[in-house]
Amino acid sequence: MSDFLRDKLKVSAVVALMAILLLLAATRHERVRVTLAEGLMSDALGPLQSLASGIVQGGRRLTGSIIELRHLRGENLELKAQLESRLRLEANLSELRAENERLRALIGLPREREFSYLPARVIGRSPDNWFSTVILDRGRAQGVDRDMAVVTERGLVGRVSKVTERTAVVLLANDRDSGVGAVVQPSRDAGVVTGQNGPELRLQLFSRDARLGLDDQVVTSGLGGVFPKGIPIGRVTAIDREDYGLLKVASVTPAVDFDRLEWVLIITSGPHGGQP
Amino acid sequence: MTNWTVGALLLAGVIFQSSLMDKITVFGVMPDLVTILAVSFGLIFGPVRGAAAGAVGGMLLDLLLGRFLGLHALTRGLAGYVAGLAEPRIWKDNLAVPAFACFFLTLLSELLVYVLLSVSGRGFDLIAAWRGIILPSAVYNGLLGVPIYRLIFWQGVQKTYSYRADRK
Repeated sequence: MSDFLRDKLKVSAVVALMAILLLLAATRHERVRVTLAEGLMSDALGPLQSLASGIVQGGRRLTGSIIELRHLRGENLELKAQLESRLRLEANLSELRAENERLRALIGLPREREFSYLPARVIGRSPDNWFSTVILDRGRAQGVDRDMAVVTERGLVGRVSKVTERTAVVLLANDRDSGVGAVVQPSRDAGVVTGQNGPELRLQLFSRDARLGLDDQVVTSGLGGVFPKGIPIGRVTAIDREDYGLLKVASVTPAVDFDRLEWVLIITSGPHGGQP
Repeated sequence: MTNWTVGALLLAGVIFQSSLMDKITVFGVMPDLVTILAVSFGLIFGPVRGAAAGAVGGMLLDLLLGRFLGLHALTRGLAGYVAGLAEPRIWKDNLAVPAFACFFLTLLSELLVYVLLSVSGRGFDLIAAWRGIILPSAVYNGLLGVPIYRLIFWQGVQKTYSYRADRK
C-alpha cells in the first residue's frame, strides 16, 4: 500500500472517529424527531424483520401446540371453571360500573372515557444487551405518536420512544431509562418504578413511612401525563431501605413477561381525548 | 468475497440481530452477530475490511435503535480493526483463533460500550454489567464465532484461492 493511500486511510479513520463521537454526544438523549436515515432504515427493514420474527413465532406456536396437545383436556376443564368465575365477576363489575356512573352524575364529575387501543405486533428487539426496547409494526401512518403508553392484557409494557412512518420503538418498563409514576395497592402510597435492565423492577417510594407489604400490587398513578392511571405494573417481591434509611425501596416482579412479547396494545387516546 | 457479499451478510446479520437473536438468549444475553462478522472479516481480510464491516454494521444497528448513534459503529468497528491487525500473524484455518478473537474483542467492545454509556449518563454498576452482560456475551460470541467464521472462511477464502490457482 503506497504512503499516500496509507495516509489517506489514516486521515479518513480519524475524521470518521471524530464524526462518530460528535454524533454520539448529540444523540445521547431521546429526540422528538428522527433523522431521515433512521426513518428510511427502520421502514425499509420493518417488513424483513416482520417476516423473520413471523416465521419464528409461527414455528414456536406450531411446536408449542404439538407439545400442549396432551394437556388440552385438563386445561379445558380449568378454563371452563375460570370462565364461570369470570362471568360472575363481569356481572358484578357491570353493577359497580352503573353505580359508579350514577354517583359521578350525582356529584357532577365528568364521565370516564374508554381508551382506544391499537393492536401491534412485536417485530424486533433492541439489538444489544444494554437496552430494553421492542420494535412494533405500527407507526405514524397508523396514528402512533411518541410517549403513547403500551400495554398487554396483563399490564404495562412501556411507552413509545421513537416513531417512523411504519414502525415504532417502545422503551420497555425494565429499561434503565424508564420511570413510571406508581401507587401501591391497597395503601395508595406513591412512588416511582424504574427499570434495571433485568427481570425485576425497582420501586422507590416517596415516603419512608409508606406502608408496603409483600405481594402488594403496584399500578400506574397517572401522574406525569404519559401513562393512564390504574394499569398493573407488577407485584412487590422484596422490601428494602436505602440511603441510610431515608428511602423505602422494593423489588417488583413485572406483570408482563418482557421476554415473551408477541402482540401489544398501544393506547392511542385517553380519558381526556388525544394523548392518554 | 466481494464487497456486495460482505454488505449482504452484514444486512442479514442486522436483521437477524434485531428480530431473532432474542429468541436464543442464554443466561439473559443474546449473541452479537455484527461483532462476530466484523471480527471474522478482520481476521480473514485484514484491518480495513474488518473496521469497515464493523462500522457499517454497527451504524445500521444504531439507526434501528434510535439513540446513542455511533455507539455500535465505533465499538464494532474497533473490534473489526483490532482483529484485522492480527491477520498476517495467524493460522486462518485454526478454529481456536476465531473463538479467542471473538471472546476477547467482545470483552473489549462491550467494556467500551460500558465506558461510553457511563460517560453519557446512563450509568451501570460495573460488577453487575460485567457479570450480567459483558462476560456472558463474550463467552457466547466466542462459541458462536467458530461456525460463523468457518462459513465465511470457506466461502470467501477458499473460493478466492481456487480462483487464483485457476488463473495461474
